[in-house]
Amino acid sequence: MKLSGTVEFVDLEGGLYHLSADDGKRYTLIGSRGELKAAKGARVEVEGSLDEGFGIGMSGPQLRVASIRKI
Amino acid sequence: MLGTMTAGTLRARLGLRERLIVAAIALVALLLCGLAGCSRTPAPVLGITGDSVPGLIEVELSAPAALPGKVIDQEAQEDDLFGDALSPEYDVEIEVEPGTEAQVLAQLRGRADVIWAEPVVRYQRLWVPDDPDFSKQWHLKAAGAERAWDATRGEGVTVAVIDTGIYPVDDLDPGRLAKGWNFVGHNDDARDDHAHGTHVAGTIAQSTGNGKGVAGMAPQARLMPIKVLSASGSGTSHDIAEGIRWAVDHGARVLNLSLGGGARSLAMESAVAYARRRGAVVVCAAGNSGSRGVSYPAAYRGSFAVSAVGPKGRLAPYSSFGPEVAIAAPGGDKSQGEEAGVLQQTLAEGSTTEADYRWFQGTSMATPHVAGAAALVMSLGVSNPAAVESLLKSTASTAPESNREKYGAGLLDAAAAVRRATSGWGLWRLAFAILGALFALKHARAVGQVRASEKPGALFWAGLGFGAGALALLAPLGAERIPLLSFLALPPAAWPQRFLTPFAGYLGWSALVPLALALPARLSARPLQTAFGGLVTGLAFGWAGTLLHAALWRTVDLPWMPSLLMPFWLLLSAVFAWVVGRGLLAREPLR
Repeated sequence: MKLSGTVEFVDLEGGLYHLSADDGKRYTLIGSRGELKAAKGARVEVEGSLDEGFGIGMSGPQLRVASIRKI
Repeated sequence: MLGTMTAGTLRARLGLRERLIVAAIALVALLLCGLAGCSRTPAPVLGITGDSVPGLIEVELSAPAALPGKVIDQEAQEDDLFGDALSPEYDVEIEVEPGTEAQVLAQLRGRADVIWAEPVVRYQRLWVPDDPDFSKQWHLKAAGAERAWDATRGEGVTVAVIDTGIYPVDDLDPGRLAKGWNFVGHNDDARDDHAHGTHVAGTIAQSTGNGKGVAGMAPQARLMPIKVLSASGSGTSHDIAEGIRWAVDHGARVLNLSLGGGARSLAMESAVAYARRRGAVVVCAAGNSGSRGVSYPAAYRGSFAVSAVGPKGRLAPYSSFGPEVAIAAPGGDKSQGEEAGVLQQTLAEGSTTEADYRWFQGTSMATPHVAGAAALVMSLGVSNPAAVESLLKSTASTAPESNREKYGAGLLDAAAAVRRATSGWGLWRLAFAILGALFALKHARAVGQVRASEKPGALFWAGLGFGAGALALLAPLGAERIPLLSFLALPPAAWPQRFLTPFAGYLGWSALVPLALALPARLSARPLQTAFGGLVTGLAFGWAGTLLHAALWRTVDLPWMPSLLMPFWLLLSAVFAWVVGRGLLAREPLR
């Protein structure tokens, strides 16, 4: 799936990155921390898949990032 | 002649000595009840029972104002003691010339703008860890760790951290790391590559009293790293379920799951049920949605769900809540500042090899406070996970608002739980043992097996106290300081299970020990009149008291014993132990 929105840093569990997506939902982004950190605060287009798995975030659906691009 | 007399005339009344012993025990019991906090305790507040710190005074002002002495700390209180948030108050700590405290206090108390003033007092503790940043760990104090450490530090209990792994940072004793498993990489290298698991592990058992860094809740517990989450902090239900089963099969008695998700997984649910059946406490984070709805695995039956509170004991804004929440614990609330987070050593930001001390917040941080408290309680011989949970809940302090979905039973108070498991329960065991012994003595006299003049000696009472684990009454006063007393903080019936293997529990939690000792004791003509016989007779009654308490409070879990049968096993064993004691009294009936 492809989503666009803004990457937000959330100071939870040592640091999480959320995508505040244009569809009105918030996704916890799962991916390279370096890549996510570089996109912090930016509007991005994310290609990835919804991850039904478990994690440290526990704050909503997880989006496993395949690619992330600033727009 | 006695044998021909009627039971009524022979029903001897308690001797003066016995009555004095009972009165003395009742007095000690009452005193210890106060010490032990047998009743539900309110939220921990700074007490006035300790010593005053020379020269320090704390003042609550209605508005900022000049004060005598040097101001060393001040802050505005948003909500005061009386919940009046509309009129903020100013809490100021001042330093005055030592010796002038009383004079300054009198002067302050006469001022209209001073709401209250009191000397700063120091709690009397026998052990204060020398970890330099321990003073910043408000969360350990709030969870009652300090006062619990005088009785136990979690020896002998393995806590599995089912997370991103544990990195062997320098403030973690490598000797306390058990062998773990990496379910992500499928190998035995369960080192952390994220920082989350190491932080969680630190809250449970960071090296404490080592003059370095920070402290942990149960510093003598062993940590088992189970890596089920990758470097990105995510994992699968399959790996988590496997991790739970592996940890329990390899000896973990407490499982810490600072993770979750919204999807219900039958594999994980059955793994949680398996862990519970095998005698483990499964402590799980409620979730970080900031709304109603507890995540899985916390929401499964058999999990012990933990919500998070900040330094003031109020639910943290991010914490999930719901009917499954069992208890609340400090998880940090950094909306009140960085240092309102939870401080532990973990991997430095962005590193997989360098360590740093970092402030985290989340229900993941609240969970290990509870897991550590569970380890403290289990190290005191409480092996039934349901009893551990019930103890933690029943001793939780009152939450700042009445809302079970947010706080469960209340705020975690590890010290209160430890006090109850030692001195609180010790009193009950002793009371049962004494009542059983007095009843047996009375009956033995009534039927002519013991002369009215025949009194149990000091060794009888010593044996009874020992069997009932009476020294546990003193444990909260500093058992950890004295190795032998630490050992005696548990009733001897709990020793085989606690110090040998779970299966050895059958040796202690039965009448086998008093029975085995009774055989040589019966070689003497009148056991009560010999040192060894008196000791063993008393021990049998003490053991019976311990078994009866364990049956009624359901504190014990034995391998392969269905939990429904456990109380009956213990009850029957208590009766056997009592019969052993009664049998020793009956040796050679008088004619």
